[in-house]
Parts: sequence; C-alpha cells; structure tokens
Amino acid sequence: MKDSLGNDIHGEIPSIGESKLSIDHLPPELLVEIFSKLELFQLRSIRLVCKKWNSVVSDPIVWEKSFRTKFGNDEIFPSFSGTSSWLVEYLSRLSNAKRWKKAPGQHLTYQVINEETGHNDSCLTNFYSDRFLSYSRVNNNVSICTLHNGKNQTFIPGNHYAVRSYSVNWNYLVFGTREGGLYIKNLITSTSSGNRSSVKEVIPDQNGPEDHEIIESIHLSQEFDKNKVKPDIITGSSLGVVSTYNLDGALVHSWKVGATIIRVFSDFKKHIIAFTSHTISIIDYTSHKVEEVTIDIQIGPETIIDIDFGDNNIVICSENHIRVVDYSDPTIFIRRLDLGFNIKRGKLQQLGHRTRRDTSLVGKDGLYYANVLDDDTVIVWNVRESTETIKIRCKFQTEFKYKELNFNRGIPPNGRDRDYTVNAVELNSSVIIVGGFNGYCNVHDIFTGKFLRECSIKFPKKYPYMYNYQIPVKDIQLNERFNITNGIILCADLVQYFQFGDSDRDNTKTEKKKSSIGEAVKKGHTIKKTIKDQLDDYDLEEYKKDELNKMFTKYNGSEFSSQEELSIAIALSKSASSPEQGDQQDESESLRRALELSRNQTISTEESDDEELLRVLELSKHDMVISPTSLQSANEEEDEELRRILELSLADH
Amino acid sequence: MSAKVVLISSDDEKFPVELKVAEKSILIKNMVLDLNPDGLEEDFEIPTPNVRATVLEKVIEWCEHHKNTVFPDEDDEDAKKSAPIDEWDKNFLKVDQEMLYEIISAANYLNIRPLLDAGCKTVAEMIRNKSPEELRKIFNIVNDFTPEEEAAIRRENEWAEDR
Repeated sequence: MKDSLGNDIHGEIPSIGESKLSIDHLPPELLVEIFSKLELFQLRSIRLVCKKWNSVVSDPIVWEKSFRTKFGNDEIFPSFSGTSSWLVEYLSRLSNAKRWKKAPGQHLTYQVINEETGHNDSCLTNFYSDRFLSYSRVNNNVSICTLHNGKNQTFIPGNHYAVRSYSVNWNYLVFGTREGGLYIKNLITSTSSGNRSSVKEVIPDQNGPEDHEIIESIHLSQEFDKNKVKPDIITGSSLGVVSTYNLDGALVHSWKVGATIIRVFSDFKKHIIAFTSHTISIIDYTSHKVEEVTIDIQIGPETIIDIDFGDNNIVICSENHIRVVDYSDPTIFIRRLDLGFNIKRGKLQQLGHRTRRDTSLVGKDGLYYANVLDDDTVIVWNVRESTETIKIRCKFQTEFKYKELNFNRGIPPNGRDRDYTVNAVELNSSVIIVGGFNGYCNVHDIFTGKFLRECSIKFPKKYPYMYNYQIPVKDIQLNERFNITNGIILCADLVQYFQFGDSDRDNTKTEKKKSSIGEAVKKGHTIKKTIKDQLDDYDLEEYKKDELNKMFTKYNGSEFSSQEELSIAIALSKSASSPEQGDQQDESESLRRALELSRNQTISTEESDDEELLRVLELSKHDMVISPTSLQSANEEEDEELRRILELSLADH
Repeated sequence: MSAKVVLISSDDEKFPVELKVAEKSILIKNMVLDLNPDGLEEDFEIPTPNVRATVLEKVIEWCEHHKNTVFPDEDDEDAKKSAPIDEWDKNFLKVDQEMLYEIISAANYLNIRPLLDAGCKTVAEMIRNKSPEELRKIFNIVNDFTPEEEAAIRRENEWAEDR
C-alpha cells in the first residue's frame, strides 16, 4: 500500500507501543494547519478517526485562533460568510481569497447608451437580476440594460429638465428642478419609442425671478409600496422643510427642520436623517419626533455622507475630517478622525443582504469604510467600532500600470503622479478595488491592503477615446453577494464587466441568446422566441428566488450549537462529498452553496413580481420594434449600435 | 570570512551555517537582528532545544537549498491544486512519518513558513480521500470512541448529508 506521495505506508508506520513521535503529538494548532489545507467535506472523515481529531474539528476556539493568526486580531470586522462559525468563516475566506487572486478572469466591455458626451453620474447594479442602470443628470437620461453584457438596452430620455436633485431606483426616477419643481417618472412605462413619457408633476416649476423653494435633496425607497400609499419619497428643501410623498405624488407628512437642507436620507422604517450646514436632524419615522445634533464640521453639497442604517451610524467626511455619529438611543455618540490630507472619496462597504447588524456573527458584523485622500492614499476603517478615535485598519497606495495609452504621460493638473491617482473605490468584506484612469482598477485585500491583482483589461480599440484621453474611472460596483467574485467598472459611457472564476449564468444566457438569433429565419419567429426566452428567464429567476427563500426559512433565525453548526457546515459541502469530485469547481460550488444557505437574511428583491413581469414584457415589445433592423445585421455588436442609434433618433422626436 | 550562526541541537551538536541560510527561519532572523543590531561580527550561537540533530540537519539542508528562493508573500494560502508542492520539497519530505512530524514541529518552532506549509500539505495529501479506518491505519491511531460515540458522530454526519 502506498500513499499519494509514493511512500510505502506499511513499511514505515511505527507499530503501536513504540514511543516514536506520531501525528498525535502534534499540537492542535498544527493539526488545524494541516486540516485547513483540505476541503470542507473531508472534515467528516476526520471527525470519525479519534476523539482528538474530532475535538480539533469541532472546537470553535481552535478555529478562531487559526482565523486570528491568519486574518488578524480585530475584535470587530465584517462577516464574509454571514455565519457565527469560525470554521466556515475561515475556510470560505480562504477559498474566496484564492479566487480573487488566482482564478482566470472574464471581461466584457460594452457601451451604455446615454447622451452624446458619454457622461454618467451614477449607476445602479443588480447582479442577481443581472441589471444595470445609469443616470446622467445633465440631460436627466436613464439607460437600463443587462448587466453582464450590455444587451437589451433601454434608453429613457430626460425631456430637458434643469435637474437640481434626484434619486433613482429600478422603477422610478424622482427629481427636483432648479425652478423648484418636483417630478416622479415611472421608468417602466416610459420608453424612448413611445410618447408615454409618464412623468408626474408633484410640484410644478415656478416662474419669475423671486426666490422659490427648491428641493435640494431627495431619497427614494428601494423597496417601494406597490399600492403607492405609504411614503416612498423623502425630500429636503432650501427652506428647511423635510417632506414625505407617496409614489402617487401625494404629500404624506412634512416637518420644518431649520435652515437649508443639504441632504436627506431614510431607511423608510425607523428614521429620516436630514442635514443642514451644521446640524443633523434625526426624525423618528413613526412618532415624528425630531432630535437635532450639532456637529463640529461644516456640511456642504460636496460633503460625503453615508448612513449605516443597520447599526444607526452616520458617516460624514468633510475636508480632512471624518465623523461617525452613532444615533442609537438614548445618547448620541460621536467618533472622530482628523487626517493630514483632505478626503476626496468615501465609500461604505457593500452590506450584502443583511439589513440589521447581527453581533452573533463571526467578527460581530463589522462594517468597513474606505476613504481616498488627496495624496491618493487609501484608508480602511470600521464604522461599527466604539472607540472615540477612529482606528485605521489598513492604509495603502496603489500603482496603476498604464500601457498603450497615447495621452501624455506625466503629471496630472493637481501635481501628483498619474500612476498613483485614485478616482474611485469599492469594497466588500474581503476585497477593496480602486480605480485610476481609463478603466484601470486594482484589487487589494481588505484586511492588509495588499495588492492582489489588476481587475480590468484593456478596452477594445473601437473606443479610441479610451486611448487618447485621460478619463477617470467613475464608479466600481461589486456583487452584493461577497462569494461571487464579479463586478463592473464604469468609465465614461463604457462599462466593463469582470468575473473571476467560473460563471454558470453567463454561459447559459449567452447560449440562449445566440441560439435564438441563429434560428431566427422569420421575423415573427424571432419575436416569439425572444419573448419566450425572457419569460423563461423570468420563470427561472423566480424559481431560484423561491428555492433560496425556502432554504433561508429553514435556517432563519435559529441559534445553532457549535455541533449543529459544524454539521450544517458539512452538510453545505455535500455537493462535493463524493471522493472523486476533488476538483476546484466542486469545491467553490459547495462553498458558494454553503454561504448562500448560511446567510441569515432573505434576499430582498427590489422589484415586485408584477413590476418585473411588466418590465420583461416592455423589453420584449421593445425588441419587437427594433428587430427588423437588427435582423439584417449578422454581427451582434452592430445590432447594439444600430439599436442605440435608433433609440437616439427616436428620443429626439 | 564572514561570521556564522551556530545552531545547537537538543543533543548538543553544533551546526555552523551562513547567516543567509539561517535567516530562512524568521525566529533566528529576528533574534540575530535584535541581539546584533550592527551586524554579525563573530559567530553567534543559538540553541534550539526542541530540535534533534538529525532533524536540524534536515531543516538546514532545506534552508541551504532554498537560500536563494524568493517565496511568494507568506499569507498566500496555496492550499490544494493551485500550487502543488515544489518538486524538490516533495522528494525532500519523502521521509518516515516521525521525521515528517519533527520537521513540521521544527519549522513551526523556528518559524519557517514555506517549510511548514510544505510539510502540512504533505500530511494533508496523506489524509485526502481516505476513510476513517484507512486514516487510523495510516497514522497509527487507536479508535478511542465508544461504539455509542462513534454512532453519534455518524448520525450527525448523516444528518448533515440529508440536508
């Protein structure tokens, strides 16, 4: 008998009774070191070997110790697996880190139709439903398309409003104008091709030179009320009035808060938070009680503000100051950090699907925040700690290796070296991605700040401006599910989708699309096929959601003992349990499933079923209008471009 | 002739080695740095009371071989397929189990991460895809479970499988 290294096992095993050193003499830390190199499902055999091995596998303290040696000793840090098991957290983080670092990447670049200048102010992504939305404030335009390939683009022109403030979700755009107007636009029923531009006027534009009340800030609920009764829109005005509206445009409630409202936020459940230049007003959503906090730093339109509704923290970054206001009852607590450089960017870590903080998780469900400073240093710190002075978790600079770009190398206007300039940042519980110019982005480890890889590839040559001009990366977004290593980079009007490791959804979707085009001999046939495909996709999504929900309910809310937890962990690795299936794919698949299952919260879908169906049909109709044109071209890329041109021309009329 | 680091095994055997070689051990590297901030001027003796001469000899052989190897960043968990064990290391670690565990313990004590990793991977390879009975045989472990305890764990595992 030989082991996998070719050692003759029988010949070399010392017999029982001899006092030779055996594996049993190794301390538990070293056994963990060994076991952690194995796949999760093999721990099942290991448990049955002897008491010691069983206890090593089952002992949370052993795994916590290993985790801390490996990932650092912080009391509070973001949960990756969404579980309270150190073992699951440890092994899933290892596997994820490996994927970020080593897995082959897939990239796809597409152009988002918007306005001529190629400008986008903000974007929404939903990796689960595979949707992308971008908004340009200058022309008030919205574009929606399939996230991973940019297909099925819908362009909704903005009708030339002078937009002062806006908020957008997947179904509605709400905007305030410089003339004091407030409008609600239904994105489902607005299309470029029809005249059904369904804009609802809540407050009309005011005429005349006198000072009128202007809506300075809007916050729109992501999970809105289908019946349009409950308030889903919150506004703050130049006269210091905070108001709530429902989607029908009816005023529900309003408060006079004080001076000009600079920004307003709400979780639409418990609090409304309104900012003036020196105060924060925290309004109780149900009792309507208002509490005012004075803050020692100036808040202006440029101030970066993020709210952690899950743990009642307000993050304010202004000039070189960071303040975290913990507004949990009964007292307000303010944490501070004053830096040597001004802050130019700030971003809150992706929350995943947990809405409330769950301190029973490994790492007590911490939440990271990243700032980019004026000297292009990136810092990461924890919003959910309670020290008065904010502690920096990691700090790094990154170098972008620009290749093949024709624009003059050298120093950008601000006097810094361009290779180090950071324009955008995104983070989740395991990585932080920073973006420079022309789509270049680097991935770093969230705990150490260590460089892991470049996550972008060169943009196709057919977009020459990406080679001739210096264009900052506008935004980066990661999948809200941490265990799937994909995301998008937005740079001017181009989106680059990236994914590391295998992707099941991509293949099936593209295949379907291709076959539908291939079979399209008759026009009518194609249309039917497209609609059918989209309905099929929709069905599939629904089915998946359903299955997920079932599993969540199964595990939801219950407290597991460490034994049970372990069993679950092992159960979750079931798919990889047969000995032949040792390969990487199985492993990552099982981990993915494990993480999916162990998450405590159900996925909140941002669209109600009916709305989704409506949209699918809308898209199908849209396809119908365009298919005669697109059928003439064999090239799919050209299809997209033709479609865009068509949409633009329709928009102009 | 530059000064050497002299490692002393538990059985009092002395091993003079180049500083560059000894520095593969982070423990020794830090010790030398702390105690000789101006650089090594004369031979510097370091006792390793947990390591037998035969094991120390093996560990030094490894350090000697890898004295010019640049190891990837230490936190790189190259478990499993992504980075198979270095071919030389694999052969180097074709030793009996006792020696293997002693090398692992020594690498752990001396803080030689790449050697520890290679050793642990070697043992993990021996565990992979084996049944509990095979594992007990390979590692010469006595089954100390009562039949009831064993059945309980099996049930837990099965319960896990059913999910």
